[in-house]
Parts: sequence; structure tokens; C-alpha cells
Amino acid sequence: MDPLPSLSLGAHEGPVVAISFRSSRSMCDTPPQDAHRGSEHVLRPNAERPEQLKTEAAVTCEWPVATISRRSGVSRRKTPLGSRAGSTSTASPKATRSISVTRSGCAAKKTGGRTARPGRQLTLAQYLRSWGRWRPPSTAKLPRSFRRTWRAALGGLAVGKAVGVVAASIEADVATGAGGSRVGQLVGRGYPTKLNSAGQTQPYNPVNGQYLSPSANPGLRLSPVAQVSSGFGQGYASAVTGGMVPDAVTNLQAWAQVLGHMVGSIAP
Amino acid sequence: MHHWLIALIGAVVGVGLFLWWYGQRPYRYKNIQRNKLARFLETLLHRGYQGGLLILETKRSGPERKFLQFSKYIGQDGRAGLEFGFPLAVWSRPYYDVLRKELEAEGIRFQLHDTGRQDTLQFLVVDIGPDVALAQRVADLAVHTVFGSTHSSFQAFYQNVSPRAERIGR
Repeated sequence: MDPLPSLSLGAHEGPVVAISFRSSRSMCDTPPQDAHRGSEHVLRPNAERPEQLKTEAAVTCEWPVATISRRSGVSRRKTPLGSRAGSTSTASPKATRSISVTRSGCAAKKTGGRTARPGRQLTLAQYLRSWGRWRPPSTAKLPRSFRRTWRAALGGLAVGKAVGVVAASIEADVATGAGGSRVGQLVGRGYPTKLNSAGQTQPYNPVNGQYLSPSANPGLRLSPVAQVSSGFGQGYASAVTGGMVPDAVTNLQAWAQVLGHMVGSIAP
Repeated sequence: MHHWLIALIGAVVGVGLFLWWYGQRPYRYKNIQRNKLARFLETLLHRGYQGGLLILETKRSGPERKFLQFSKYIGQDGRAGLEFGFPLAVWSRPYYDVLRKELEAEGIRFQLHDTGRQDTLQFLVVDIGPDVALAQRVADLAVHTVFGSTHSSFQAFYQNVSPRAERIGR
């Protein structure tokens, strides 16, 4: 049998009809004594010579550690293939259908802990799809008090992180007097302003002093979302009541007024 | 199948966002002559929204980029006016005092607004009001002082100005 360059040992959710693994010296921390041989074993429910498979598995795979379970993700017990491979391979053909290998030491290193279908190499699309299937470990069998504490801890972490981000951004804004904070980068930029001749704020680029559009600064009053929503509301109200549309602050608001007026003319 | 659908939707959204960004860029008028600025200033005064801008520049980017800017304001009474603002920044330091002296020599009133910052220290502000002739004089003076004779023509673009022929403000 030709030496194979990589090891793939894993399982998918549900019954497994075949288990295969490949070994290589380069994939594990502690190479086996006979890794140069390489091996590939396939267990099938109707395998003709299960005893021979048992023997080969016990001889060639002493070092990788696999997690073998009756059903994937329900009950797991770690089993060194070398010492307990016999118990796996001597299972009856009927029982073999429900045996799945979910993870091994080497497979976890190869696939980043993702489960893989046994007996075949993953394509890129399959690998990416496997990420979408991943779920955090189930805590269904843990005590209820522990689950409650676990959820509270997770929630606390999320809230704490959000508070930290906001606090850091506010601190950065106060320190610099300008944008560039993480929140600022999310919603827009925060530019310094000066008062124009009408007493209204005029944002400008602090680097070269160039004036900027009033909508350059994020804010409830002039943010793009606020422009669209207020313009749409003004146009809609004008269409329904027949009142005058106020002057638009920006082009975006003007178009939203037109759209709102059209919808208001049709909808009622 | 779903993945391809998601990828297709993502691609369509991406192309749409790119086109939206591309369409949002202001149109740049090239080879503008100094004596033809009145038309641009009048357009800004009539069709500009609150805070609408007219930027005159020699180059689009780079350290040699120099610009002049006029902005529109609408007062509480609805009357519109123009304002010329020249910053005291790194690039404009050689021209700032010269322009100030030129304005003083021409008898044009201006104000100096401190920003309290270290990068853009000050603004020289001329409140032009609705007087387009005065705006033309200020623009002529500023172009001569800042752009000099090496840039006989320059670029101009608007920001926040209505594309329709309408009058915004009084």
C-alpha cells in the first residue's frame, strides 16, 4: 500500500458506513514507529474479513487518538486506536453502522477541529459548508444551575465587550477631538466643526482645512438614514395632507421626499 | 445551491454599492478660467443646500494640491449667502498672510476664526452674503494669490448642490 501524505479521520453526523484513516509522519507530534508504511482501512458493514482489518488497525495505528461514539456528539469516549482498535473493529456489522469517529488528534490538527466525512477528502466547498454546521458544545446534559450560570457568563461577556468598545471610542473621541474611533469608523467619521456666518456648524477636514458636506459627520439629525427617513416621511405627509414639503437639507433627502410623495399619492 | 444564490446576491449588492459610490462622486469641471467664476458662484448661491460647497483646486490629490472654497449658508430668516474660508494649515501657510494683506488692501472685511487645533490653526473667513460680484472679486484675488500665474486654469466641483434648476433659500 502506498504511503499517504495526510491523515483524514473523522465523521459526519448520523450513521457511518465506512471509516478510513491515513497516517503520515508529518501530521502528528509523535510519529509512530511504523509510520513509513502508511495505511488505509475501510470498515464496512458487510466487510468480508473483519478480523484481518482488526489486526491491521492494531498494528499500524498506535499513535493517533480518536473519539469514538455511538452517535456523533452524544456520547464520546476517547480511545487510543492502538490499544482499543480491536474493540472497534470487532463490532458486529450491524453495530458498525452506528459507530462514528468524530475527531482524532491528528484530524483535529488537519481540519482545525471541524468534523469531516470519513473515507474521502474534503473539497473547499464542503469544508466551508462544514463551518456553517458547527454548533457550540451542547450543555443539555449539564445541571440546570450550571447552564444558567454559563448563559449568564456568556451574556456578561458580550455586554462587557460592547461596553468596553463604546467606552474606548468615547475616550478616543474626547482625547483627539476628532473621529477615528472604532464606533466612528462603523457609523461614519467624526470631523471637527466651525461655525459659519449663519451660526451653523460647518465640518472640515482637520488635516488640510477643507470644508466638508454637513452630512459628513454622523449624527441623528444628518445621518444618511435620518435623511432618507425624514425625507420620505415629509414627502408622504405632504401627499396625504396636501401640505408643503420643507426644503431638503441634502440631495438624498430631496430624493427621499420625491419617493415619499409618490408612495403617499398611491398608497392611500 | 443556496451558497451560489447568496454569492450572487452578494455580488449584485457589491456592484450596486460600487455604482452608488461611483455616482456619488462630484463631477469635476476642468480648465476653469479665473474670469468665469461668477457663473459657478451664482449656481452655488441659488442651487446649493445648507452647507453647499464650491471647491476650486489645482490638482485632485498630492502634496501640491491647493484649493479655495466657498460655502453657502441659509440664515434663520431663510436668506442665503456665501462664505469664503481659507484655512491656516501646513500647505497654506505661505499664502495665508499674503492673502490677508491683499484683502486688507482691497478693503474687503474678513474675520479670523481660531480652531484650537494644532493641524488647522485658523480660518480666514469672508462673509460675502448674496453679493455675487463681491464673491467674484474675492475669488479673483484668492486665485491670483494662492494658485499664482502657473495655474492659469484649474478644476472646480460642487458638493451638496441640487442638480435641478431651482432656488434654495431666498
